[in-house]
Amino acid sequence: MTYTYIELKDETGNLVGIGRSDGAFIPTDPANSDYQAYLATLAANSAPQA
Amino acid sequence: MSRAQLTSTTQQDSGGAVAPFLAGKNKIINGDFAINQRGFTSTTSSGIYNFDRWVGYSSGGTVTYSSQNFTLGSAPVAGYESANYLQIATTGQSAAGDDTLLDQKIESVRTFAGQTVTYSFWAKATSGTPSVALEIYQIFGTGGSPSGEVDTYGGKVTLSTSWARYFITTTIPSIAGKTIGTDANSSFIGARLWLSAGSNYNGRSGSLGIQNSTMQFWGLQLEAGSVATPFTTASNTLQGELALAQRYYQQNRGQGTAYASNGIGGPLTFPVQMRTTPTMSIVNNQLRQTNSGGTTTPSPNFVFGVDATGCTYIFASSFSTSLSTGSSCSYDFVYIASAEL
Repeated sequence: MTYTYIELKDETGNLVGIGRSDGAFIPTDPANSDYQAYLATLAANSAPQA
Repeated sequence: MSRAQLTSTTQQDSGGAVAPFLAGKNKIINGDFAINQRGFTSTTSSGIYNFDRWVGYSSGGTVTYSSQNFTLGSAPVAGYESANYLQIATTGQSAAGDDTLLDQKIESVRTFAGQTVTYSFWAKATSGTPSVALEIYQIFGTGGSPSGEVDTYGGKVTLSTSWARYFITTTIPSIAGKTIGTDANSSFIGARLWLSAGSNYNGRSGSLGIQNSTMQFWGLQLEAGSVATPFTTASNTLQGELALAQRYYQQNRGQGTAYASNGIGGPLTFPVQMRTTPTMSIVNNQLRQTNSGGTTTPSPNFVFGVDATGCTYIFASSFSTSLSTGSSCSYDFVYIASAEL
């Protein structure tokens, strides 16, 4: 399953969570496995392409 | 010869290393597939949870995980008239990286560390005599500098076309000298059945090989010791099993009052505290003004004020229909909270 993500911020610009393309809200909790998957996607997308 | 040696290749109906019907001996939750909060029927996607706590992973070909119903009187254990079993059909695999897996993650890497364990299950193949391999993997969590994953091949068994109970005894490595991550409740062990494994996975699957076949499973149990005692679920009660599963996933109804056109306050307390802060969503078309027939579909950009115990508010950049506000404007909804490992 491949998702896209958006950062959700409050009115002062603070990150409050991650929105996933299936409509789910992912908290920025490092023990949350969906947040881990988001971070892994972020790292993969920012890694230099071979 | 010890009792364990005498009985190590035979199911024990009268008790083995632990009392045969003791709640908590089975670390597998929902081993009889009675809990199905997701309403799972069938999927061909990898990484999708099916029955509660169970997830299938696959690569290559087409792998179909499906819920099946026992015909009354046909369940494999006399006196345990279970309703469901899991069928996994693999077709079209051939590559070295192809695989089919059935997996359950068990919280805390301390579970059974350094102990001999026995994994047992009922299974059958619809044709042929395919094999199934067991792997136990240890994940030391997140945060800080946790130790790396440890994978242990446990053994394999060969199925027939009739329901039979199979068991594999192995030893889970000690965690002495290892480091567990600092994030609470993030470590776990995994009990993984390999149903098909390309050559890339020979070491982890006992050189199982590619198997394009259909297999059926029920009554899975992981317990301490070298004897497969009679099957029980982890809690030994239906309600207890639901509560155990809800620590990781729950789909329930919540209610709150609209405090703005795009916010609902005071929605809910989870019936069971979850493992960690869960991923949240509202089921489509399941947000509505109480006592009103209408539904409001939330926008995807919503925020939950959530922790492991519950949720204090829901806020959205917009709802498809603005909420009515005021003390009498109560809204109810169906939510999903997921804190799977």
